[in-house]
Amino acid sequence: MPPVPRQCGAIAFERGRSRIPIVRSLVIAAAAAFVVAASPLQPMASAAPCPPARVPPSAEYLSLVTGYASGGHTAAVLALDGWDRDRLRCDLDNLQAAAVAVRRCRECEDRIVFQKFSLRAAMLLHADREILEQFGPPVSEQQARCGTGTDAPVIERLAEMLLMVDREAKTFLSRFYVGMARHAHWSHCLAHAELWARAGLKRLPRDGTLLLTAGIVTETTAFLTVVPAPRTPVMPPRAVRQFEAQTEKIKGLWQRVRRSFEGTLAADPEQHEARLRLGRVLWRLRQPAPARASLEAVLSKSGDAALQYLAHLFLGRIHEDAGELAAAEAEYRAALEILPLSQPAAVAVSHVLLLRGDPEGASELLGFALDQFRLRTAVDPYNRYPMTHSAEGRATLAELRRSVAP
Amino acid sequence: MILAATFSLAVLGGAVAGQAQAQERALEVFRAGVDNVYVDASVSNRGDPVVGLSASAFELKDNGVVQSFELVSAESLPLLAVLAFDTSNSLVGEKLLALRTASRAFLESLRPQDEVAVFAFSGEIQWLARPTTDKAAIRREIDQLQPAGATSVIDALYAALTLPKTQSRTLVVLFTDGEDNMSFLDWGQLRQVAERSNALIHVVGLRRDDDGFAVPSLDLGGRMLPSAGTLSLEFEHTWALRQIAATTGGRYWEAESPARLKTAFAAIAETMGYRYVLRYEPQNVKRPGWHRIELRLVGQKGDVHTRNGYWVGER
Repeated sequence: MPPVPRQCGAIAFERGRSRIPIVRSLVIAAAAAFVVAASPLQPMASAAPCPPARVPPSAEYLSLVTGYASGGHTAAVLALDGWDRDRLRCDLDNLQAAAVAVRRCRECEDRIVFQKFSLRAAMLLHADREILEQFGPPVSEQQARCGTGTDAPVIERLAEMLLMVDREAKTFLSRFYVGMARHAHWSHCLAHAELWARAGLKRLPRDGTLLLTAGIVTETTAFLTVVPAPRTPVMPPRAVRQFEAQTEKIKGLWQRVRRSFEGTLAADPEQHEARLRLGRVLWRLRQPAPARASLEAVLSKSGDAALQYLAHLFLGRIHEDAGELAAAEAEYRAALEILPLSQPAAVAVSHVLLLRGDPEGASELLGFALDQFRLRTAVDPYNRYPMTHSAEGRATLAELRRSVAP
Repeated sequence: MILAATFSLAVLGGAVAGQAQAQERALEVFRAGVDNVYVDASVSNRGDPVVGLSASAFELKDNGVVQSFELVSAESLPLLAVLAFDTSNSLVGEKLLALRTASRAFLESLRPQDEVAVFAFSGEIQWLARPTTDKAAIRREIDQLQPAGATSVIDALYAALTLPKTQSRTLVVLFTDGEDNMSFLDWGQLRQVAERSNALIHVVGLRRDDDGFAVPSLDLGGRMLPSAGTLSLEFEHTWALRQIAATTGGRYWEAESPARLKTAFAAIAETMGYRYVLRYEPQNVKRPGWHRIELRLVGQKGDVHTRNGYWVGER
């Protein structure tokens, strides 16, 4: 292909030439540095110098991404497996150069690059490979396989470019990062789920769904962190230090969770799930009054049955702690009314009946609930609570894949 | 005349003092009484059971007051064994097979007249078998156990203490290999219920392959896991189960591997075979409220395992 000189503002770009003008090189370097700084994921290692720059990207990469967008997902992901990483790096460098040019001059010819090459599809392609290689299938109560691969920093670079060239990209990016975080959460890769959520939040810091997702992941982490047995007078000094460190860690985690949900509500007051979770966290932090206010606000503002059910359950516990057993029973029964087959609600009502001096009633109600075991067809929202939405990550990414089809 | 002791299932104080007081006040509506108290005890010396002791070998105090008592033949008392088995996802492979084998052996150690009930729990609880003397039916239920889901130890133990109706002495055998991650109730609430039940609770805890003491039930991406050997703390889960078992006079038996499960179950069966049952009518002690039981050996060496006390509500 013969070189076609182009002019775009102060930045000169010539197809087929190996030299990138110095001004543009600095811009690229700055952009790359930003991406690295913005991303908690490790950057790709640089290697050999790029071959002469061509119209970005290379035909092979363009074909790969186009094939993926057209529905050839598996083939594209498998093809990427043997892709030359230096060649990929050069394709990304060239794409980034074009993206920087488009950001500076939206009417320039460089925008044609992104009419042919779908950055969104490329992100999803690399995401698929990252998921395939780094996230195992979900396993509960066993060690999960988790990691960060070489595609994660590629995704970050592509996301950065997308924001440069596409003013409508925020909705896509929000859904993409939510999807990745939830997928990692679903795979029980909590640390990586949080990394993906935080990576999204660096680009979209006021995104309510991303904030909620990050908060839920942190909440799950706090929930599953081992709690040490109470301190005893005979504990050796080393154990005392470990006890205190572990206790501080747990406390710090719950405070982080609280701040996450407060931040979510500050950004998006309509996130009623964040309000519910904030109420539960405040209860854990032994702040029953604000916890109660938060949960009551869920009951008054949200029409979501699952949120209402959980709010009643959590409110019941606050009343129970305060010795307000009649109020606790009323809340638990309200939860049971919403989900008549709920086992957690039945346990809660049964226990409060026991406290109220009705062991026969406690036994009868719980026995009835256990008899209904085989009638339940859906997972109880209480049982789902630590992993809420995590199963939706795959569906979100699948929708995004469909959205990039030509 | 009430022949069997009637222990009110009630609540103790919570983790927070204020909550505890509020709940204790709520308990005042309880109505129950005690005419005869039965106390299960086992005695061991350096791990070996001590058998053949007479009543004169024991001293029994109820709220600090020495009581007259008689030894009752344990053999004459019917037993209900409630098996509560963790069937969460972690119970895959040889663990499940070992549990089946161990429980079969345990069932064989029971007498024909003894009843058995079975609960299985993961994220939810299943009451697989109501109290029955049909051990073959129980074996069939246990053979069909399949691992799935999370772990609701606390709620399951609550159900095991609350549901089976019996006039027999109740032995609860809880098996678990993981930490609770799904229960609605907490350890404090469960302990309150256990203290006020008349059940003897034995816990068999199976150490996980990848831990020193206990690890989070779900992987935390490697960040939160204290590695084996670096954390010398006991975790709340194990501690709480140990406390709850001890409160009722039972024990926490740790199996270091699936192969050791059978040994743990056999030890429980053996303990039941060597138990002493003391019967007394409380004298010179106030009836309602918590009764602290102290049982010690007189002129004998050994450790006595028995429940810490019992609860009597207002008549």
